[in-house]
Amino acid sequence: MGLFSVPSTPADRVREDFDREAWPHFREIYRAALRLARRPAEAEDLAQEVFLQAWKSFARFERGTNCRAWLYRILWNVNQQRVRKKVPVPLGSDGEARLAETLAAEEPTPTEIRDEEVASALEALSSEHREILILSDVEEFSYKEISTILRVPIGTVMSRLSRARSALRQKVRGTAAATALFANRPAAEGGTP
Amino acid sequence: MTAPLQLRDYACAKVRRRLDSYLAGELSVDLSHEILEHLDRCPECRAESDAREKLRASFRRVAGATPGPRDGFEDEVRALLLRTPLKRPIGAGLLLAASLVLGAGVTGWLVLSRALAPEASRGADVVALDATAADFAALNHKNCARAGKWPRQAASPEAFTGHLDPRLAAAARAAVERLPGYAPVAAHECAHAGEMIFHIILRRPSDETPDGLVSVVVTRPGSALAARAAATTRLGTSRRLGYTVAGERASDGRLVLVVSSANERETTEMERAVLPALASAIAVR
Repeated sequence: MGLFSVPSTPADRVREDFDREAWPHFREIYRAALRLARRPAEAEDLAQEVFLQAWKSFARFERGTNCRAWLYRILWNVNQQRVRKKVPVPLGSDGEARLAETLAAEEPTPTEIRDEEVASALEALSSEHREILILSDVEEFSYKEISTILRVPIGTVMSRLSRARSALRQKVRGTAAATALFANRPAAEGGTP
Repeated sequence: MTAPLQLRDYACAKVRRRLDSYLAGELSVDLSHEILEHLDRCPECRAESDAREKLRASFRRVAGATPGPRDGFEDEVRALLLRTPLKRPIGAGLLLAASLVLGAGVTGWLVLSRALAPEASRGADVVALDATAADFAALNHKNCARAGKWPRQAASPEAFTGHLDPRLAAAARAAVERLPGYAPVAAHECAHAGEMIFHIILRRPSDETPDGLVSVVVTRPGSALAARAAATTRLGTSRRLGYTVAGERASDGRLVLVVSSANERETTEMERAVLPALASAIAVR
């Protein structure tokens, strides 16, 4: 890729930029879409719409800035529109969960954690919590990038993440405790002979 | 299970509140060192930190295990884009090229060639060290290695690597072995500008001034900095904030950066010496 080999038309140049900056993220965006939509057919629609919008508005993308975060921002936007068309989640659930988290004192995190327990805890999380945890821990975006993607202030990112993490720990503690009940083990404090 | 939480201490409560941000690498250098110091002293908080790190790793495995697109889908979308006309094409490529050239001119890279680098041997040409990577490493060296109250030399092997997980401990020891004469000072994970890094501090032979300190900074493979630098970084040295930074991308995508007050040749030699040792000690996660 020679810096000075100027392509013939402006459109070619945009295409070349797009190939270099946006296209390498295609598979990752598809996977992120699948995590959001959960069904491959919907994930395909989402990923296609993201790249279509990115392509059309690529002139507005500031070259040299974080293209990956820009694509995620579009993904979140497109996903919002998709979700809005669907039946909304019952309003109470998230609020209740939040209340429970606030009231619960933080117990220690279990040291022995199995992936299956985490998987079921993940399923039990609200979508808001699941999404922000994925952005932070799986996609490894910084707080600042997450605030751009979700279009919320950085303080909201921090408090939402903190609630999401403590909700995840609480759910994992719940499943770990349930597993321990079924496991054939002597009780921790003295126990029965 | 770790012991039930009894927050005897205001310090513990404060650390627990910030532990997640610390683990995410979002705290300032000062704050993360405060937490590091506390974790070194407090087994309960250390256990909680380890448990949360484990949960994080498990979450990453579970939530990250998503299949990629089916064969052909990528081509379908690409074909669709090619059919979609652009409304307002601009000559942004030229702008990008111009800014790169300008950036290179202003910062004054010194580009070095190298035959044996794992990445360089595969890549075509050796290019300049990414400016952000160099600044990042130099700042961490300034704020952590030089500003910290480190001993002349680590009191014992235990003090140097005892608190680290076995993989990082092995990496720190391997780095010291590859630099005969350099004394081990400290090794820890610390956070700087949103990046969690592994930081090894050494001291040059018979130099007890702050100038004798040398930092080896290793990023995480998928980190934003490593990803950003990945496209351009092969090997390079650069002068930042009065220090020399030599850096390179290891084959697993991590950046390995050495910062010292020595000259470019010496710093590059150190980087060459530690990279293979670090790369084999730290397996891809």
